[in-house]
Amino acid sequence: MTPTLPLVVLALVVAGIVAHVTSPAARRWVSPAVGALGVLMLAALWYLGLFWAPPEQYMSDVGRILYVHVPHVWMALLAFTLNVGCAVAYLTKKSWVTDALAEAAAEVGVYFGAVGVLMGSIWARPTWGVWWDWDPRLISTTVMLLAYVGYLALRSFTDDPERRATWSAAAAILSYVSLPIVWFSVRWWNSLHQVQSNPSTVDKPMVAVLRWGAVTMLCFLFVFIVKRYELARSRQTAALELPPLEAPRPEAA
Amino acid sequence: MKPLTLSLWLLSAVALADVVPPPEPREAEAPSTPAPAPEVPVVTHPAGIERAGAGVIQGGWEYVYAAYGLGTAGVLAYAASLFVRRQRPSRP
Repeated sequence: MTPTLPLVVLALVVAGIVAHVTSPAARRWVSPAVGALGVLMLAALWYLGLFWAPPEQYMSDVGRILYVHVPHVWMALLAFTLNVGCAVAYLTKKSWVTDALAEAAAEVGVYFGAVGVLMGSIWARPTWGVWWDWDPRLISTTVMLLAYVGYLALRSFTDDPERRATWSAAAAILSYVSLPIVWFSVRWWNSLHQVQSNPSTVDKPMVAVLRWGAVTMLCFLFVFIVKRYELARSRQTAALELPPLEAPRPEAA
Repeated sequence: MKPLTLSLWLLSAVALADVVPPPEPREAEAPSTPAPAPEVPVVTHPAGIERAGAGVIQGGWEYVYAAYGLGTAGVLAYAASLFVRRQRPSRP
């Protein structure tokens, strides 16, 4: 497999996402198709990551964990970026659609981030000798995840949908401040975690498998956000259609 | 007065004899080959940390399988949670 093959698949997935967003007629089949593609790609990722990719120079076979750990964290960062985009869009022009999409992106981002951190912990044990270290990258990632858990908790604090949407949009923008700190933490501070690599410093088969893993997780990110968005929309609709909590009492004769 | 001067002179001679070192003999020429440096003991850490970074991690497949298993289980579990929540009646 060449490093360009995952890019071709990425183009297909992005085309599917664009079709889903722009064409209501395509929504019926795009997410099931992307989900099925994700399952097939995940099965292939097991083979490619565990057996096809060469062992890393120093980490040896333990380096194979990076093909699933890094894409998970990338997807979390992507989901949080979608979340803040929807938050800004909501504050600019109030829309239940952007509010529901922000909620979906935050929850899916927390899922990918939490699994990514757990995978990082599994990788750290044989590499660093410890499951956890109070390192700038690890601390900033934990703070970022906690901020988004707080965002999701905040959404359940009020029953008023409009107030919930406004408060959580502001919280989303505040939470997003943690994201560049996470990204640059390995450069700003003396971190045990290695800095970002780029394709020119990594073997081609390793780049190919890492990209394959990223496209696989992108498929799941898309499907999860679509399904979680539908859930959020149905809850919004139910909340907006509810009668007032206290019906006005009839005037006493 | 004469015995006092004599005794002072004698005491001074004895005292100076202790303080002033005897004249050193002329140094012999330096040997052509320098003496071997004293052996520096190798500092070792009880946990063997000084050996870290010098080799390649051996094994660790159990961690690799655990990470891949966690990723797959996570996808299945989150998909199941979305499915279950979708079946529930909508709650504001």
